[in-house]
Amino acid sequence: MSLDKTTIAKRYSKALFEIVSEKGQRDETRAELNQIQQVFNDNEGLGKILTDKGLEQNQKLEILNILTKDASNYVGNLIKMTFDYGRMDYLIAIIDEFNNLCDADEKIVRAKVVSAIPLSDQQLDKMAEQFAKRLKVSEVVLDSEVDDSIIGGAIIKTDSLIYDGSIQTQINQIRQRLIG
Amino acid sequence: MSIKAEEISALIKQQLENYQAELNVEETGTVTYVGDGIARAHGLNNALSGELLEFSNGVFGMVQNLESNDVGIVIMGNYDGIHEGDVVKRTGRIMEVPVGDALIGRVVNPLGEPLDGKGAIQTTKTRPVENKAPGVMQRKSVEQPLQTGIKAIDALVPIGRGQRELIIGDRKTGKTTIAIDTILNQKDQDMICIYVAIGQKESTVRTQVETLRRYGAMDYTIVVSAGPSEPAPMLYLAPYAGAAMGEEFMYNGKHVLIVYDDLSKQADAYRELSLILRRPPGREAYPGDIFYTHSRLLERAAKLSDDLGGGSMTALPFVETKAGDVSAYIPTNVISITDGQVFLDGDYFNSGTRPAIDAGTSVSRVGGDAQIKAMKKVAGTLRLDLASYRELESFAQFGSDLDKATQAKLARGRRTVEVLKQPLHQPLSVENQVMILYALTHGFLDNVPVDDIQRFQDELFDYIASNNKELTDEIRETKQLPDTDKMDAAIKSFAEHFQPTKEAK
Repeated sequence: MSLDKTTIAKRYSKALFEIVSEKGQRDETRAELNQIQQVFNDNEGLGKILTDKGLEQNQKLEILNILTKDASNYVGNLIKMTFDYGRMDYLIAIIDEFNNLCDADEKIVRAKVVSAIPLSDQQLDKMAEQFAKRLKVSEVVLDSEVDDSIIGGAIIKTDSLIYDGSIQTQINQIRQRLIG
Repeated sequence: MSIKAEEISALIKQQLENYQAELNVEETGTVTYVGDGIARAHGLNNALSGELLEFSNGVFGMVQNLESNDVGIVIMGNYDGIHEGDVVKRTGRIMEVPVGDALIGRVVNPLGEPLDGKGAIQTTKTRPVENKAPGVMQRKSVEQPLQTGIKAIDALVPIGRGQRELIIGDRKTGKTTIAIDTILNQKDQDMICIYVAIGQKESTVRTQVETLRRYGAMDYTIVVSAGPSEPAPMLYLAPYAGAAMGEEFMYNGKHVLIVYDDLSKQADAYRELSLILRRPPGREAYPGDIFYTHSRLLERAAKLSDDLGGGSMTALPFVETKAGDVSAYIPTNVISITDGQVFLDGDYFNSGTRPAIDAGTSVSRVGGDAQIKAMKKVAGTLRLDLASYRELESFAQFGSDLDKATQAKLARGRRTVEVLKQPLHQPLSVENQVMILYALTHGFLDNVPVDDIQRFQDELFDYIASNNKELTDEIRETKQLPDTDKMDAAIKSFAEHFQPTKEAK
């Protein structure tokens, strides 16, 4: 049975994370990887053509050279290795997983705030601070979104948790209570 | 009906006053795959095995697989409304079913929801579907008999309260009939019966319920039904739900009879969902824990110690064989778990020997201790006699030059088989069973033509009931065999007046 994408991404990213943490190059690596991710996002299908047999090997190597030209040692090696093992398809997943590992290590949580009206930076900062205390992490990075269908209040969503303090949900609860 | 607006608004006001805005915290995951009664979801990092989850359309699911990246969920109910990308919420609860007296007389599905259109089940009590079986010190050995009312079973393979006796046989050999007759015979016996129909045709279940109702057996019976059109998880869950309902009564000191009809269909349902969950297949493509699936279920049947109220749960699991093959995977598994088996033979059934119990391969490992003394005395050698008759029978077909002893044996054997036949839905009381078996083993039937045996039996019961009632009363009350001289005299006086049918000679 072939391994699934997440399992593979976890293995590669863990190896990379450990080595760059050891050498103290985590932040540089992260910035670089995010640029590469950007390249892959801008050129849809790049990962696929580097994995499948559509292109000649030397054509693929040319593209690879462009990617690794300005890369640091570890990032360059990562790209070359994933290419050699035919996993270029998974590079984005590997980078995502690497970002997750960095966040977990620095106790950073990324979350999305949904509110009915746009929030000021000050409000967001305050919210992030309170939320960080609640989750017992050092920092919460909030991403704001406006959705007036929730009427009022706010909803904070992280990976697997939803803190729902919206008026819409409260109205639903009252409805449940009156019906049931 | 007049609507009292005042009253209603007062109620609503009251509800609203008590309402407190709470921050709604939910742990969620995202559905990544849905199909054939199972779903996979990312996230749900803290989900527990067996935990109940809620999908965004209100359908519940149960966590089955915890893997490194996702969880495998079996969906309890309709999975058409669940899509990839939907949110799944943790509920923090484990799967439970409603239990208690309110269920008696009802037909429910494995989630305890009514199927009989008689309204909601009025009970607040619930029990977890999966529950650990009673341990060594909580049990007691089986000592009370469970009278099935079927002569062949009560005499040859007696079943005790708290025993697990497998009913095994090909399709259409009368397995379900044994269950229904046994349930019918529990009337006024202080027993609660649970009939779990797993993958049985809805029309068949309807007929069984109708039979039970006609004989007044629904007053103490619960029917749990998971039809063949339900998704596999419901079929898999049905016996556990039934067991949970039975446990409630057992732990309250009552006696329960639970029938699982049948476990081979449950095994098939579990195989189906295991394969879709990508668990590795084993022998006959069943998953590795198929044995545990059945053993943990049947282990929940028990006779509890006196400290725990002395309740019991007797299980009659059914297994369907293919062409009489008892050495297939599921039959051998369940045979080794249970305390004996009743084997039903297709050939006997077709030749008119009904119930088609094969005395040679049927055994009961603990029931003998639970048999009443009187029955033990009259039925002691019956099994061996029957087995040797079956052996002789095949020889006897070659010729008639047989010695007297062999001929007598054959004659007795033919009459034994005839006595053990029993019509549909006519369970016999234990005292009458003792009476006819006594007549058989003491040679009173040897001169009665084989075709007249059934009539002889029925008339004997009537005769005893009107002339020698004290004999049957004694058996029922003391459980001992009355004085043999009295028994002989009573049966003899009847046999002398018995007029055989002329044509039968």
